[in-house]
Amino acid sequence: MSTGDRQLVRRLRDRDEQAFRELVAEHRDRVFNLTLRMLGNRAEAEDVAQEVFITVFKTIDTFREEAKLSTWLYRVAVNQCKNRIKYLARRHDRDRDQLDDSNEAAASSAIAVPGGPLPRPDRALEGAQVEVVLQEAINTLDEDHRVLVVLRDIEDLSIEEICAITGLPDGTVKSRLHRARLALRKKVARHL
Amino acid sequence: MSEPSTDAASDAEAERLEAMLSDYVEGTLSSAERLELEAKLAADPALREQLEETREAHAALRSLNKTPAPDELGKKVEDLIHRRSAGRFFGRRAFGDRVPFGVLLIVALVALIALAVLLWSSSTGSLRLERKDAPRPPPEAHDAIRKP
Repeated sequence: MSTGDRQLVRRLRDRDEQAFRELVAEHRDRVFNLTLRMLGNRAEAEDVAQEVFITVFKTIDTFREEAKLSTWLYRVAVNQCKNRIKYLARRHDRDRDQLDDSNEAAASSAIAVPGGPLPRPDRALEGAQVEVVLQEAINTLDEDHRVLVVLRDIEDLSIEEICAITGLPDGTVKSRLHRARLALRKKVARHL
Repeated sequence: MSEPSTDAASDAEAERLEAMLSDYVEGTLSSAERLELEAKLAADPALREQLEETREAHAALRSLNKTPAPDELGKKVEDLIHRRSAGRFFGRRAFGDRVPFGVLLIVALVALIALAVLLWSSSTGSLRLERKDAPRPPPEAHDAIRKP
């Protein structure tokens, strides 16, 4: 850990408000981008990003100074995102059950469109839609694959940092990264 | 059915190949491994297709825009911390928060012992025992008190 980080941690442990502002200013964009890509929803991403910083301040005394502060911050962010994904999945299941019950009669008379309207093939990957299609594909990746593509291909963290964040060995990170990219490519291909 | 050790070996080999493909896409594969992988690619069209697909995915992901955090994020976090801690979170921590309870207890005990010793040794201290060599009042003094 660098001397600057060590001093910042000491000040954070002393509950120095200015140190808190410095930490947020330095990491806010990367933490928010990570939560946004992991969750695919701006409001949820903002909420989780706030919780990440609050968790960091609440648990700064437990931070062992073996890792970089940013690595620890990312680990907190990844864990918060995973928890939120599980919570949202449970809520989605509950809401869908309720919707299924209340709309049973209406659905029987409606014309079903499986999967909803697809973007026109010639426009599917144009401009902002690349972003939308890719984000939708990321959202459907399994949680462990999602973490790896976000950390490596979007956040551009090194393999060493990703190993430190996820606790996975080097070879496993790379092999899962390959599978994640392959899965993502297959999902995106459906929109072409 | 294959032996478990053979399965484990082929799993490990598959994982190694996937890791090599990942490094190849990122351009970080060592030259010896690159030659090994390129020989495999030349002989296996399915592997070439897999490589092409992961290349496309890698490039597409890297092209995604970075979204900056909302301006008010820091302020919202601060407000949340102030609200949840009722304003007690920030500011230098109290002495008791920074010094462990055990240390405080030991310091308090030492202070108490020091105070006791001080009172004991003081000529007017209330804890002082009556000394044997101290002058006693004459017996008449007692009689004087008893007889009005």
